[in-house]
Amino acid sequence: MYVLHYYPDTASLAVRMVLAELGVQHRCELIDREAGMLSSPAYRKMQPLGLIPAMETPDGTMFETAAILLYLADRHPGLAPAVGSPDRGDFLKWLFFTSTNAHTTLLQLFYPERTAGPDCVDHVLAHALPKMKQYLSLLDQAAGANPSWLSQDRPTMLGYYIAMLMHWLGGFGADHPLQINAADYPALFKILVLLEGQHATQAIAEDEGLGPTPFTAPLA
Amino acid sequence: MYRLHGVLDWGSQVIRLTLAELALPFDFHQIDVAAGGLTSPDLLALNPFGRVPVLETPDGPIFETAAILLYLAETHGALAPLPGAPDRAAFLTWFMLVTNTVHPLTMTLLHPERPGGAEVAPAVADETHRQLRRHLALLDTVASTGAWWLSSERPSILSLFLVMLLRWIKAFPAYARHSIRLADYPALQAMAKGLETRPSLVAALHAEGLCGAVYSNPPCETPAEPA
Repeated sequence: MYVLHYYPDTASLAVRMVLAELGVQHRCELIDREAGMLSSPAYRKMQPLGLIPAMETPDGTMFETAAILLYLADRHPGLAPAVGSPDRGDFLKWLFFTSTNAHTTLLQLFYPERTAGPDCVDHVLAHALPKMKQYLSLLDQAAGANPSWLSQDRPTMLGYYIAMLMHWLGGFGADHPLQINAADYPALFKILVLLEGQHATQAIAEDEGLGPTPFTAPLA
Repeated sequence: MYRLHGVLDWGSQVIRLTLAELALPFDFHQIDVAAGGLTSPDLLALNPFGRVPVLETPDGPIFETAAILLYLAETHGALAPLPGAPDRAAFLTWFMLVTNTVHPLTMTLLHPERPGGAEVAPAVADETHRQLRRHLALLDTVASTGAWWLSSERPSILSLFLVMLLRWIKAFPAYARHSIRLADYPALQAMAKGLETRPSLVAALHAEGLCGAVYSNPPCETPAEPA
């Protein structure tokens, strides 16, 4: 039995959608963020940096979104190539690319003050935005070949991870300087349409208040 | 047969050490960075991102250091807990933190102009140094728990990756004041000593142009700042 410690519209979303899509038994425990639970000794014992998500597994507590996804891929086949399959290398390449480049740069767009304090925010944003667009273009190119691990026709683990990032990036609004338009990435866009139509996604989107089209038009 | 594209003492170093530890034959192709090797059509065909390392494998070219490492560990069944092992969950957690947080922080300490330009580089470097020390302290506590994949006893793709980052942090910070003292992280320093003296790795380090305490106590090569 997995216990996912989550908070609406945070990185726990990718894990929650994947758990639902896999149909594996799990429980979601809401983190009482307002009460300071992320700094509590109990939470820090699970996640020493106080970040979301953390997940209890039969093998102990783990964290790091992409690590949890890889662990789930090991145990529940279907959404990612298994160890030994010829697609495994490509899958790992783009999963790590997404985690180390796309996700990291996205965090700079949302929390630019974390890089070097409030005085440097404009500089950080000006550098992070073109990088973010370059990374999305590379992911869009990879998705264009419709590979098994980032399919346009059936849900994939990497697709859910990228959809979560696109959900956040789409939330800046049309006249915002950081605005990113999902339709500029046509292969990824097809994946977003597919995934936001999944029953698993729709139930979670409703529960977390993400709207009817959380990936293609998050502000709708 | 694997073919590794890289630059001496860059990220390809940990791939070379991993291949050596697995006793796998490979060709090394040195990229000539000054001659524009990172933007050459040959490299971009392997990695549209124009970065090294890239490893050509029977399953196609793989980039992203951590992806190559995990691919090698899984393909050859060594140097990491495999799916089903009880410590796979913990290993993946710390491996991911090192690749998506500690590695980028390290690169920012070496090149603090990258996140926001030259004007804010000193402030970026100071904050990066603070965050890096926090993460290294955390990793030191994990290494002191005796997990084999973060120990001096035998190498893992995680320990090999992390000691390379320790070397860079100690030897090449943009500002000399940010060079760390490895003694502040005793479990990590012991791990670094264990790996740099391991017979199976010494020859690979030599091929990278490295010998001696290259992980546990490399000299800081950044000139001291004027007082």
